[in-house]
Amino acid sequence: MTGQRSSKMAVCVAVISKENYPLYIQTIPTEDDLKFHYTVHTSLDVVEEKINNVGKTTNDLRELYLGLLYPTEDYKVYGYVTNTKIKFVVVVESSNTALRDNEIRTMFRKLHNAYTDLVCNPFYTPGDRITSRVFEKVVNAMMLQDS
Amino acid sequence: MENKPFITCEGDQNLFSSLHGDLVQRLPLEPVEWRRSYGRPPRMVQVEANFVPFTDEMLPKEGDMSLLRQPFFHMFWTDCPDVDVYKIQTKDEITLWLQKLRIYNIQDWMIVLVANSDAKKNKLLPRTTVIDKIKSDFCSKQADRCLVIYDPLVDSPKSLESWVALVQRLKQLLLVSFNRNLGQFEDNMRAQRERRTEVDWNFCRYFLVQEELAFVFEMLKQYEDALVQYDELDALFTQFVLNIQAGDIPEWLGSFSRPCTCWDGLYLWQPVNYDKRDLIQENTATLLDLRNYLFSRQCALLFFLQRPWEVAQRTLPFVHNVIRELEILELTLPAGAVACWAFMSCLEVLQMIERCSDSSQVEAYSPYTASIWAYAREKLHELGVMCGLMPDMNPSSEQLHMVVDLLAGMGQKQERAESIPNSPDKKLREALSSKAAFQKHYLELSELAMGTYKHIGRIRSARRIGKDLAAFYMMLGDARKAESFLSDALKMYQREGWGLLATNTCKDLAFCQKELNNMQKYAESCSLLASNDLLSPADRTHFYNELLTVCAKSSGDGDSSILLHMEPMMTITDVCIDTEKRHPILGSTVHITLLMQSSLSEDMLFDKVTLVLQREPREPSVTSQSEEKPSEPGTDKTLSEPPRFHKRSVSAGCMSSLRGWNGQAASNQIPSYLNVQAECQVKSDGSLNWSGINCPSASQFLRRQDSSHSLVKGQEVVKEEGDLNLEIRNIRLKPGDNKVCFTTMVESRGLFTVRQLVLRLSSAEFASSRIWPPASYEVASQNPTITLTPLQDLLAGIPQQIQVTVCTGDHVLPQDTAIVFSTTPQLTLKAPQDRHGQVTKQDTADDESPGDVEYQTEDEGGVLMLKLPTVEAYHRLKLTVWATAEIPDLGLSGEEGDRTDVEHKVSFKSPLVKDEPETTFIFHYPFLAKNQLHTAGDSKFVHVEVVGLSTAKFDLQDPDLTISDLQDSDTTVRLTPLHQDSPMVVYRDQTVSYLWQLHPEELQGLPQLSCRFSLQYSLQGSQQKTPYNYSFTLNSFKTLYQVETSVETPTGSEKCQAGVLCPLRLLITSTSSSGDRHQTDSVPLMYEVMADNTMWAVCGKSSGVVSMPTTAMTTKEVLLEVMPLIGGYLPVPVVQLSQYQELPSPDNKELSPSNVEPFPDSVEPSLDDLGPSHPGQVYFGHGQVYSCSQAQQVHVLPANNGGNLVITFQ
Repeated sequence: MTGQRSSKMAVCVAVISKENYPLYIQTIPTEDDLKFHYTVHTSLDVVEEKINNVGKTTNDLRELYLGLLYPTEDYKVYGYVTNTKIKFVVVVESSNTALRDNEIRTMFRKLHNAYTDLVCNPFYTPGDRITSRVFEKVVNAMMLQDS
Repeated sequence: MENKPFITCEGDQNLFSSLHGDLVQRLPLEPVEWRRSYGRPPRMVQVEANFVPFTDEMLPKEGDMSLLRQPFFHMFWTDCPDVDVYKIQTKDEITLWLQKLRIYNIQDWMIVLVANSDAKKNKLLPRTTVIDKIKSDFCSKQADRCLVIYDPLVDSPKSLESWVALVQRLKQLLLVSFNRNLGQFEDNMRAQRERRTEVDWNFCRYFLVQEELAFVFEMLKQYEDALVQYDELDALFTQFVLNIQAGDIPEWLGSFSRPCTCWDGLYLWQPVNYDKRDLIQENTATLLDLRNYLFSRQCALLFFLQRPWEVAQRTLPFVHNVIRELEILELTLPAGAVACWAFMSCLEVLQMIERCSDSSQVEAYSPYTASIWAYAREKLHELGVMCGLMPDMNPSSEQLHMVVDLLAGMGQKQERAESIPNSPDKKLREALSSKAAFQKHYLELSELAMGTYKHIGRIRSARRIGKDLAAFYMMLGDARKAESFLSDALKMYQREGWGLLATNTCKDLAFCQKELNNMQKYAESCSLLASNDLLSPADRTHFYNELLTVCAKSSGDGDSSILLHMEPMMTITDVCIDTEKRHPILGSTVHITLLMQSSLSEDMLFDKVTLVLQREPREPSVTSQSEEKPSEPGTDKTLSEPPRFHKRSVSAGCMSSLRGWNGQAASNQIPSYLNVQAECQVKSDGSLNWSGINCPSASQFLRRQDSSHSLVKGQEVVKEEGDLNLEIRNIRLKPGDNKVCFTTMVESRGLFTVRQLVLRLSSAEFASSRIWPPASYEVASQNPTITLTPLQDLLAGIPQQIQVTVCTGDHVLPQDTAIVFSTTPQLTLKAPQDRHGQVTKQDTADDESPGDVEYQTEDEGGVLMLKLPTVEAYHRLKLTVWATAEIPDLGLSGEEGDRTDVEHKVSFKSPLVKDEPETTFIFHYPFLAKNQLHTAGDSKFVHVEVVGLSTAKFDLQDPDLTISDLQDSDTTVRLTPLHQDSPMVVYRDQTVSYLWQLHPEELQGLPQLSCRFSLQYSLQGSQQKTPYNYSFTLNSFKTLYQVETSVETPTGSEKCQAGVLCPLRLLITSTSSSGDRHQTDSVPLMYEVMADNTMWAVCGKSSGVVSMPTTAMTTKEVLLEVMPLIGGYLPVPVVQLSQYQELPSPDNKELSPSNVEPFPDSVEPSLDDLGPSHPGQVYFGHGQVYSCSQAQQVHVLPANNGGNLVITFQ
């Protein structure tokens, strides 16, 4: 059971608007949506904290990756915020030790690229719920088995 | 145990023990810089040491790499007083001691000689003291190994100095020793670590080795370095466990796979937990033991480093990691044991942090402790569920057994725990002992976790705990507390637009409200949930039915009706107002159509639908007046008449965020269209200053999102007070789009705005929020206006047309509405013959053919009164009146001058308008008459000139001039007209002149003549003749003197020549008898030659005074000299005559006659227009002096240049 799970990359990917409402949440189908909604929503507390602290302590405003937001017994929640204050949250399982910081960063970079592509689409209004299939494909690839 | 480095002492033990205390005290006083090998940064350390007597056993055994038990330094103490004693005894002792050290290859030693400073020194023979001897014998290469300390027990400068030197030296040498020993130790340690893949390698053994290094660092107070050792060990162990997943299981790890029977939590009370350390040493430690010990050491060091927040930061990853390692190692612990361990460990850390930190660090560690509290709470919850301690459970015997088992596994440090009050161990025991105790602890923990989260601003996390608490309270049956937690959470989820979470919470809340029998709120929740598409169809139907039940039930109870939000169950998507006209007027019909969307999954039948409209009474608009002058200067004016919007908060759609994904944060809603108005500003001179568009409600939509954090907003259902309620009964609204139509007759004026829709279902009312954007219609309200406008430039003297415009506004004019005009004098208004007016609609263009109406007039004493017929509302009645302004006799009124127009005012009174508005008209004169008097010798001619001013042509007839004010009726003055008597035409810039001759013999004795000129004029083409009068007065018209000037040829030449002087002969003749004028014989007269100085040069004096006899027909002759300047026919220089009065001033050479009446200056304009140039000079009136030689010319030859022109004839 652990072996199969650990090969997944992410179990939940969320895109959250500047105003903190969800633009997109995708979880692995076997899991309970609600639980991840709660997890992601709660993580916003830490995201806000980190964003606020960035302005105060360091001058490095360009670092978009927020790192590990908070660990739970089963999951690790990572955060990333774009310059337009769109937040990306990725939840991975704690048992998945193959995922290091670098992999998570790569994941966020992909997500950011996909989001940028999405926003470039003139038919997408920023702030609307994301329904783009291209975007979904990118996200699904992150949640698929890492072969 | 104190891990101070050992220093052995050999030699005189008694001597040393007397100094021991001092030395121990002095050694750590000042930190010393520790330069380290391997390029590690130097550190300041305080050196302490444990001085022990030297024994052979102290020396390290072969292969023993222990650091802590072996001495780092060796000292030899002696107080050998002189060389002889030294040679006999001390030298041998030292030699023996050094030999022992050499065996072990120890170089860290030192010899201390305690000397008496009073001992006399043999200065003559150097190297004869004991110290010299010692140095030469033992320290030939290392002079610093030998030191003297003088009078150590005496407080003298020399003693102090030597102490300092000793301590300094000792410290340095000690550190050198440290470096050497640590270097060796580390090399050894690394070597051991490299062998970790070998079969017989044991982690526990290595652990103790590296820990020894950590102890040394700790002893040196280098906690940072000590921590690094433990962190390395931590990482090493973690990696080993992780490698198990790859199938790599080393032999030694087997010992950690033994089943745990003890799940004591962390124990942080001692810096080193020797019980656990012993277990590790004995190789019998379990994973939990090792981990607990390792983490407790890390914590201890972090507390030493004053970093309690780091302890908190490391706690949760530590606990999570251990739990994962337990999983990986597949250790079987009884159910709940891990939770017990985690719970106790968390509490231990929390208690320790609270105890070991001051208030300044609360901020630093709170972000971490909050999560720890929350985690501990989670674990307790897990245990509660497992052991059947939740309020809705009853522990089974199996669960009771489980509790006993769990308690057994955490009993191991009970004895010690006794001493600590409130220890985690005790708490857990208590919590697991009974349901009530569990409840108490669980609630306490939850509050703490929530409180800490709130304190650090993690509201979302706090709310989530609140939700769990709500569930717990629901189990307890305390729905009221649960409700408050749930509604807090719901508000936040709604505000942030998390549909799924809000729905979930709302569902819980609904149950809670049902439990509380709060039907109002329950119905509200039901309506929300029934229309929520995130819910399953079955759930939706359930709540739909619940809603119907609740609504029906509350009506059965006879309660007052419940008021609910209409949104998001039903939403108004559009409001259309259909009126017949742009502005409906009283009596017209208005249709209001609402497009509504029902989010329910089924039809719903409402008993009644009420549309609430609000009426704003409006001031009657002034559009019709300002229509006439659209550019009111300097004022902002909205060109169109848009519905006026009031700034108000948008409450719409706050609930709609429940509706799922597209529901954004409620306050972010922007209506589908914005109301934008065109605006312009006109400058005072009538030109456009600026124009643009303006969104009056912009500030509302551009308001900062995050500054409006009020949670309460939009939650309250407000039923609006309407001025007009439109109702429809029994209406069925299908899921999806619906159309609801209302129709009403307009009964009152004002701006009607659709405010709210209220749906009634049994006794429940669903009220919409204020409808946005506001849809409104205005029942126009416009007062009637009356304006007067001239149809063209007005001319005085003839009837002119003035248009009277009556705009009815929203009034219907009753029959015979009167307008009474009053005017300024000399202006008469007359109604035209036909008395027809034109009626047009007020807001249509001019091209519509006007209706024709008749009206009545009355003329009472010059006051015109119009009686208007019936005119409908919003119509414009136009009619014309004739206005005639008389041309005043300008001569009479004294308004001589250049005035060419006259101003008149017309005011009118009517029941239609409030006050008496006044309109000013300017009438231009069509022509003006001017008079002039001409003289020829004694004869006088009156010249009247009529100047046309208007482009209209006027026929002038019957000119007549009469003398009005003759002194007695006997005298007659004949006026002989010299002009033709035929009619004349005058128009702009043309003049007509009339001339009459006066006979001088009849004018005798008349000082002045008042003349009155009159004629009949008519506008060309018009038959109507109007008299025109012009009065004027002639003064001083009688000829008194004749002046004759002539230029004579100079003597000897036939003609005058330029440049040659000629005589100017001046003859002044008095023509009238003096009888009526002067008593004196003669009057002084002044003459002035007014010659054009480009032609004439007056030589000698140009002016002079002559005394003129007063008798008639006497002549005076004056001879002057002038010189023509150019050749040609030159006008004879004019001589001006004026009366001269001598001034009484003796300085003045001129004479000054007295008692002369002054003549008005204006009668005789002088040539130079400057008035008399001499004092006492008074000009004669026009006509009093006749110049006979006016316009005479004299022929002047060109100047002779003096050159000869030779013409030769052949």
